[in-house]
Amino acid sequence: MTVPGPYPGHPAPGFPPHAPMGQPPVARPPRERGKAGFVLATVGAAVVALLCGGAVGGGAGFFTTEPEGSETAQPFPDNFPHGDQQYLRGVTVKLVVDEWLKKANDWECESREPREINGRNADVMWCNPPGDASSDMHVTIVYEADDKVREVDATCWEGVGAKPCEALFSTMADTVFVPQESLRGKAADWAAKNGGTERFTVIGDIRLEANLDPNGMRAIPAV
Amino acid sequence: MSEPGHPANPPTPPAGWPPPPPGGVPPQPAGFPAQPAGFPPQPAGFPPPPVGFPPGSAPASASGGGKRWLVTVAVAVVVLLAAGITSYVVSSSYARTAVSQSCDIYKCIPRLKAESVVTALKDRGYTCTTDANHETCELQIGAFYFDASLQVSEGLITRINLRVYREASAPLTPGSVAFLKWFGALPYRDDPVLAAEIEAWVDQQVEATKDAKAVIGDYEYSLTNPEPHSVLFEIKGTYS
Amino acid sequence: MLLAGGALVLAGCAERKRPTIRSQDDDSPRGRFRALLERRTKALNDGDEAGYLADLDQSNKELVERERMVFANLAQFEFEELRYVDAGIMEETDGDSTLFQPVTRIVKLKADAGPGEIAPAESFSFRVVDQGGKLVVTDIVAATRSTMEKLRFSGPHGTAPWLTDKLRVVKASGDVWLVADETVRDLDKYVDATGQQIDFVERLWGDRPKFPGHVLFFTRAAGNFKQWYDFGSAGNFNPDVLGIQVPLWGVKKDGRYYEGQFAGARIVVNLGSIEAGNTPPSLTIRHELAHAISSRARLAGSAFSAPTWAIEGFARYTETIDNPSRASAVRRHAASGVRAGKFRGRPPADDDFYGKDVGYHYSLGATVFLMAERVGGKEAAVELYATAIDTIDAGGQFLEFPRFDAISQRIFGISGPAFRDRWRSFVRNGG
Repeated sequence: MTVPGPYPGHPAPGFPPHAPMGQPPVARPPRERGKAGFVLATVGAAVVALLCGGAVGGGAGFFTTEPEGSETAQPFPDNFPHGDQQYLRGVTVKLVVDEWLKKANDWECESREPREINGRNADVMWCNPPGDASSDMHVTIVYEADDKVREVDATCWEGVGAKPCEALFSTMADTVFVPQESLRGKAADWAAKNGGTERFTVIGDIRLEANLDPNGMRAIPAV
Repeated sequence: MSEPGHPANPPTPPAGWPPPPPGGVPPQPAGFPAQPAGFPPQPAGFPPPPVGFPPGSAPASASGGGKRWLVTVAVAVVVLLAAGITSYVVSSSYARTAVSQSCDIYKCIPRLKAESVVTALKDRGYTCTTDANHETCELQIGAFYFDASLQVSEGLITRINLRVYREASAPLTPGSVAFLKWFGALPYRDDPVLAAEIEAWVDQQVEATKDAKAVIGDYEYSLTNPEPHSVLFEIKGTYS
Repeated sequence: MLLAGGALVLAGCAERKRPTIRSQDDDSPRGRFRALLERRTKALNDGDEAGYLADLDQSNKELVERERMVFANLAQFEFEELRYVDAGIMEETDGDSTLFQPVTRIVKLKADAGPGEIAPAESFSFRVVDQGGKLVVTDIVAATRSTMEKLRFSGPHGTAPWLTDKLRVVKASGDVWLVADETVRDLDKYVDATGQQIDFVERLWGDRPKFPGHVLFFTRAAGNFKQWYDFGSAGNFNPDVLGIQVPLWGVKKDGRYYEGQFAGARIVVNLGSIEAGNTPPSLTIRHELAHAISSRARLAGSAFSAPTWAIEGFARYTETIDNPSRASAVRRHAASGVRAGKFRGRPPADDDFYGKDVGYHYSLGATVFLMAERVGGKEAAVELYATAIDTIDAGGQFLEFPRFDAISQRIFGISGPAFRDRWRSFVRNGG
């Protein structure tokens, strides 16, 4: 819905000048001539004053006045992307690495090359099963502090649809929702059913994304 | 072949959740400033053209003539002042409601300090950098990467370039479109009606995944989808 | 005073009008092309031939007639998904026309299934010009090895028979489609035979992973057999083979092939060769179906693949089931290779499988499964096959891998070396 009406053009700074018209002089009686002369002179002077005053005033007004406007921007709406959204809600490195991978599964972890994100360095932890199974699957955690986890990324090399891959994705999803108990089941369920695809879902403010590069799933914040 | 199990002893969550970020409904911006006068048309009752001056008008008595002359001058002065003040007021209030302000050779968003926009974004968590006459702020959340670049002239903003990039061509979400809409409304932040119209227009174009251009007042808006995974939005002050 | 009064009145009435949103139509070529593709997708799904041809340069009769034929072909198939995708399209101005390539079209039949939404696809190079403000397509070139080289782009191959020849499609029992070109007027003759072979192969394969349906193309024209699916461009192409099975990769969201698993399978039956050699077509159909039904379980990949001896050997073996004369012919053929000094104690390697000893290689591969059947029955032979095609074995050393012992124990209950030795004797003694 737009407001109707033409957009006004530039204003004229003053009144348009008027072209005088000439007329042949007419003789008049002396006293009337003097009065008429006075009136004409006054009127003429008024006209000139009008034009000059208008031009100068208008010009001055137009060129010296600055447009109005607030010096600051309008407030952000609630859903305008916010720095706090960069991190998985409530998830800590301790939860993922210590509680889930190491304690429950005996996995081994090591630090890898940091990544530069938003001009800062984010640390990367790489974890995999011990021994012979070490190249069957792995989990990467990208974080800036123990309680600032940006991403948990699981990759499985045992074949699309393989049971161990399904279990990996489903427990990963379950783990990142530990801080949001009521959503754990839904997340684990979705992950179990959607491994080996390119689908994604948003549960709460976490995005679970399956990929076929060649077969993985990651948890990242949603926006 | 190893099978990951459930975490043995999931830690108890801390008592209570972290408090929600400060927010709430933002206060409504001030209403549209008082209506300015339009530019004036011909004043009523324009005097008829002078018929001419009679040659050799007979001089009146000396004192009568001087008084008359004084009256003429007085009238002229009054008219001068009246006309000057009126046209000043009118054109000034007209200029005051211009939607753009000249800044060097460009047109800028009136009065809006680029610095204040950058500060607002920094407070919101964006990483901002300066490069000659550009201020750039960026933020990456999950699969979404937000980028806003302001071209600055005399402390004011003459051009805004935005990019929303999504990995794996993820579809745009309301939050990511909110990013575009806020900047879209920036030039008209003090006019809530127009700002709302612009935001609705952005919603429409984004939903239709169409490339779109529009001229809104003194600004050229251009919203494009060059690739399935990125949206570009440019808001530029037109040249006169 | 009049002036002042007038100005105040005006101040109240007149106002600077609020700016309006003066929208302009999108005129970027990319945006208009995207809209064009959306129209074509809609026309395909609505069965709207006029809509499908509308954006073509009507003065290019050859293009219009070719696309009309493609439309009529596609209309006879049952698609799960048929649409153009906006993924990876490059734009290149070339004089006063613009090239958009690759333009990918998902062509997923009801017979196909990929992991998730992975689907078979084909791609093209589109040439468009602006004719009086409207975008018009002046040429569409399908992606084959040679056109991609010439036009310098790469994308999913556009080599399906429906792009080059007028086809007739017959749907048989539920999930089988038989397709003929104009050299096969007697397609209905093959419907029953195909149905029987499908039943046979499906019973054999059981409920292991397979595709929802089967698609078989029939031709008597040698030229078509060479052109379809770009068979002729393969280094080891033999125009006399009785049939070819083509497993298809599907594409991911970004338009690139996903190489982890096949998304569909097609069969082309070379009736010309079959009739020339007086072979019963049903044997060829069974052979190709054995490929097709197991291709979903087959190790897929461009850098590596399942062993050819297992793929071809098993298909040849299925021809011998319930066919003792065929079985003994295969055994004799393998034995003659032994006598000629070709046997190395292991199945044939990939590299020269289709070379001059191709016949011997087929038979030798088949003996592995004949042996397996002798030791553990048909089900054991199938299980051995299903295990072998999930393995990388370019050199035919599968029976010598350390882990073949565990496999042999599981399937046959005898050790790996024991099975190997029995097989070697079997081959040498001709049965």
